[in-house]
Amino acid sequence: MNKISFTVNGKKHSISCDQAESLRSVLVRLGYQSVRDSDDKEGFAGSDTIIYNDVPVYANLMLAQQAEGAEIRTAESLGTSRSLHVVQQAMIDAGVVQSAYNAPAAALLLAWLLEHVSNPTRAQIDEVLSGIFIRDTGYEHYYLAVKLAVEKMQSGSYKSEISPTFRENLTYVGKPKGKVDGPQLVAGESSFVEDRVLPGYHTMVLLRSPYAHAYITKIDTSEALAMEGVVSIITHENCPDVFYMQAGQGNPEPSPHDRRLFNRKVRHVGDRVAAIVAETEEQALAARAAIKVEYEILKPIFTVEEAMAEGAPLVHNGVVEYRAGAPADLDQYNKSADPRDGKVIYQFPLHGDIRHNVASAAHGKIGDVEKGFKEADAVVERTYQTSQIQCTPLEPHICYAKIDGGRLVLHASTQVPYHVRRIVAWVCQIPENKIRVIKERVGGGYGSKQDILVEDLVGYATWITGKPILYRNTREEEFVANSTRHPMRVTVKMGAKKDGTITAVYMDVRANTGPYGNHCLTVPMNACSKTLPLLKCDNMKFDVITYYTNIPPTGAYQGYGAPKGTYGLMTCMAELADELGIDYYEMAMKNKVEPGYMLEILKGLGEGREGKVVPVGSCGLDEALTKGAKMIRWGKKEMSDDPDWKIGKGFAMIQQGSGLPGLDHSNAWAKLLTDGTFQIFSGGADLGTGLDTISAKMISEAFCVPMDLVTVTSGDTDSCTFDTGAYASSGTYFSGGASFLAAEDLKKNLLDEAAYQMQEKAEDLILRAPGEVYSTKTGKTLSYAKLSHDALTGTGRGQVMGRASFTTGHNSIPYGAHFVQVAVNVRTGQIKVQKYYALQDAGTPINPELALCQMYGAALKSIGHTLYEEMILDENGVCLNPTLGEYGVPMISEKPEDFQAVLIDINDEVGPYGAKSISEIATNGAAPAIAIAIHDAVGVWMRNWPFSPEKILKELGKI
Amino acid sequence: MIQEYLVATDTEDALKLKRNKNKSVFYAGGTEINRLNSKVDAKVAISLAKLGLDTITDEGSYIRIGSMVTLQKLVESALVPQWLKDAALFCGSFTRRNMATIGGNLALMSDQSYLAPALLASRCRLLTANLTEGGAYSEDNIPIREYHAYHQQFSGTLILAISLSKDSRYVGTKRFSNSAQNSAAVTVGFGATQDNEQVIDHVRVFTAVHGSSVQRLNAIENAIENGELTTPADVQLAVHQAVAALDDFVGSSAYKRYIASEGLAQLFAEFLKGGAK
Repeated sequence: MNKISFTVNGKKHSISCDQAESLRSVLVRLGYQSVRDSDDKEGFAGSDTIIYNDVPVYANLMLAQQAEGAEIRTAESLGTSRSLHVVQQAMIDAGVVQSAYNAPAAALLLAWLLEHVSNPTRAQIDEVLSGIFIRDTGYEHYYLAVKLAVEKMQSGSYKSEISPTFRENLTYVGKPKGKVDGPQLVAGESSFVEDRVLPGYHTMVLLRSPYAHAYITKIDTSEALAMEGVVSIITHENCPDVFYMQAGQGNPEPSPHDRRLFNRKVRHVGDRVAAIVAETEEQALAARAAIKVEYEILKPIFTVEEAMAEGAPLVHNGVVEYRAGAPADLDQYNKSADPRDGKVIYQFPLHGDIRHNVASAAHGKIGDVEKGFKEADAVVERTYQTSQIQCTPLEPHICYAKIDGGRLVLHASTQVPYHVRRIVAWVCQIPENKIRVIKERVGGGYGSKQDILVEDLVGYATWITGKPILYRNTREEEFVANSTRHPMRVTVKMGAKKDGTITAVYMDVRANTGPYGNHCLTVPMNACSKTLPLLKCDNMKFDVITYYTNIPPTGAYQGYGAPKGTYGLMTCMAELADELGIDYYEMAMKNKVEPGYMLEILKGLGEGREGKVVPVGSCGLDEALTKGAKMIRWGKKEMSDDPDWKIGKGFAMIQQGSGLPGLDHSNAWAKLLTDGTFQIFSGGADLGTGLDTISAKMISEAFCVPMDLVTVTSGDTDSCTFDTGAYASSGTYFSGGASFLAAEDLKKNLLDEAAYQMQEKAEDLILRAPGEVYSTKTGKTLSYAKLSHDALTGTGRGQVMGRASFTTGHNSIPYGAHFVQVAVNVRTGQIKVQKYYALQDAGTPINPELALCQMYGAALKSIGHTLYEEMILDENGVCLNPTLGEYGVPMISEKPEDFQAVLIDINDEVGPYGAKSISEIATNGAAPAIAIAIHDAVGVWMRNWPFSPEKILKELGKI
Repeated sequence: MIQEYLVATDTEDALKLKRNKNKSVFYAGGTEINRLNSKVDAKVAISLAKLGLDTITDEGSYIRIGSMVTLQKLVESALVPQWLKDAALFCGSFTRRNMATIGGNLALMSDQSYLAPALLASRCRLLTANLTEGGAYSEDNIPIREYHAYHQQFSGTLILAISLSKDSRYVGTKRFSNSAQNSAAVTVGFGATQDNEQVIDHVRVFTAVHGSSVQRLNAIENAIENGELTTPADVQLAVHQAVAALDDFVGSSAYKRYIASEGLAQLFAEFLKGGAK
């Protein structure tokens, strides 16, 4: 150990450190928790950025020893949540503080920039942010944040518009008001799971399979168990014999229960073999190295084609059971089962056939597609392939669990706290009242935190050992043992008349679910259910089949199946337009749905049940298309000065849902506190997107009080009421809907109490600013504080509260169109996204500045999927690029040169204050729009994402 | 993984520490040594921070760039030629450019090197320090091609500075990767002179190929100097046949060969047009 001395944020420190210890580690030990880690020392994501002798550096890439005598600044130097730096406040106001895991680092960089350049250019901002990975908000509003900060510093106030506003009759809804948790997040204060860990915790590490497909024939943990500090080792031999699945979906779950905590058969490289709990991480790692495992290696399969092949190795060949709807020949079917494979338990029939690697299947149609194809003047049939994509949240999956009062308490970074509670209870075989889940701030989820990927194991280990346990995925584990986007092969057959009228559409979706069946029915079905209803066509048919393979696990990812389905459907329509010699835009306008059109196709597209046929409701599709076409100057051919660069344009119509009508359920309750302020308890899980801010606005709007007088408590299963969780674009619509109704219920009850206290009729009373009841009949007023005080005296009638649940059968579908202009270099295959215009109808955008940033973030993510990102496996199933840099996430240099998000103003009939969902849909447009633009530029159709330069060159015949 | 961190007091001290400490490495910016999955196998880091090697100076006929100069300082310096700034900017992260050094990048001579193809193409010289077998301190001034050709033999040598001649010479470099901070499939560097008689001389052609190495294409250099390759198309065809490449996750060997040949052909075309000096 060496002693080093340096200054941090003006304070001198002297501390002993190991010679190998990183500077970040020492800073965290000193309490500077804003210096976070997203990449395990890759030097990529920038969460560990500090200012070192007035130069931005990565603290993780420095040895602490280097810092002798240094002057260091961390984000803590800027301000606290109660006294923010102008840059931190501007970032909140611009909407870029969302999941915010590295927002403190970004604030530090921008503050440093403004210290050196008083009014920086976009290029200077690009440079400074080039070393920080922003996944959630797509960088664009960082320019606005800097502009706002400069204006504030120069004139004391903002001059620029932050975002458009909506609903002039409302005060908070539709207005940029900042995010309620923004200050604590941008200041780097305690927010995330890692910030809740108390001294004395134990560490869990996992031993993972080196093989893609194998039986564990022998596992010897005796030596490891005897090592110092080791508390417990869990393997397939001593884990509960409980089958479950990790997808946090509805109950009954539409995914098969096909795994235990540990299985005798490993099904992917990185699959769980053993969990080691020890007093320290070093002890756990040493014990892991001492575990001896013998395997019987099996032939793996990695693609849909391999899984479909006659005689293919079976990923699951265990006993099949059904909780409901078992087929009559099940005993016969199970005769060939291998008990070493465990079980696959279906909650209800999903048309799976594990003896042919089929996890699930679905089929449906309207009309007569064969008749439709015969009526067509042209028919095209094309196949589009998508790759395996990682969500890459900046905060890896993490869980900290402890026993408190005899109960299991989990601090989780999750989108679904109630599903965590249910699944952990099932795994531990204990009742739900013994478990409390506290959802902390979520440093990025994007769907992967809809799955219970670490909480199951940490919860069980804590329950059996009684020890507080922390587990956190490494970045490599994030790649190899986490939910990813399902690779899909989407074949689309489409026929149309000469005038472009579509006569029939057939979609054949073959999805690769990997080793386990998380979302195996619903993600692939989504490829059809969130695409086919865009088209007015009487003859449509789909077949969806999902296969088990030995790739790393798949699951939910923002957009769900829609990005893949949209890529296939829209690109095929463009190919058909090309075949017919008509304009693709004209064809889209001719075939797009309109308000009132009955969506018959939905009947076959329920998630494991019959869907409900509804008409198209609020719909901004037409406006998105017409406005977008005008912005991109559709039809005008652009030419580059450089003959090597060819320019093309494309677009795609998109839609999503707003939760799952008939399946999702949200609850909220609210109370008036004794001084007239408010607290609302939302079951919803804010994963950084501003759901808590929506809940606050529901109260503020209803009671005419500033948001600062409203406290939001959410995601705590002890204090809040049930919510299915933040997925399927349900947050604003369902959870926000429950908060809206709870506020309305509280309002009704408050008016009743006011009427009693004021001896007036409730219908004569209104609520008004600054927080009082006013009688329109007598002119009398009653403050909320006095009302609450009197209601809670010894003769009062009790606390004023409101509660509500939100369910609906209504489909509030968000629509949009994404337009793009690309330049393609015909000699190098390089692609530049010159213009990207995302136009979307979100109903009433409750938080418009956050909505815009989510559109930018989702669009840039999907540009990443389209052009750069891909998990690459070798012939043994080993992921060759499990780091952020090698995998290829887009950074600020990949941002479109002209990037615009536009909110189409449409008021929905059902959503809270007319709101629909916003973020998820924005991942759907890039792939087809860019594919179509590439064709417009250079005449080749890209049918396999990502569209790398190498693939472009191959299509161009250069290699 | 580094287990011991030592700060050298001067260059001789650095060389002695390097010689006496098993599994030791000169520690410049630390971005490669400390990073995830680093290929540097060392236990002792010998810091060069106190050696004063972090300046860029105009020495009249040449520019002297200390080996501890960061890539960002290269970008910001008025003394540094544009081709070297271009190469430094291949490191897409400003924060990493603040840490990574020209000497560190060159010493690695990796298939991912941002600077090596350009520096090699420039015919710069390296000011180095070493200890003789008897332990005496010595300095040397060597052509960079020598450092490349016998790289393994220079493992105990400390690069003090890079010396860039101010003589008129074309140098160009290109990097090909899917995204700015994704692994490069290929980075190429081309350098040459052309006199008033249009005679092409002192040609240098280098390419760093992912999964392979930093390759000097001597035959191409000679063929250009001899007038056997006169057009970009000639160069492209010849490079395509000469480059060694393997299939890996960054790209197929066919793609790497193609893009290396295309990149060098483009640089050759720029050179023929009298492009940037």
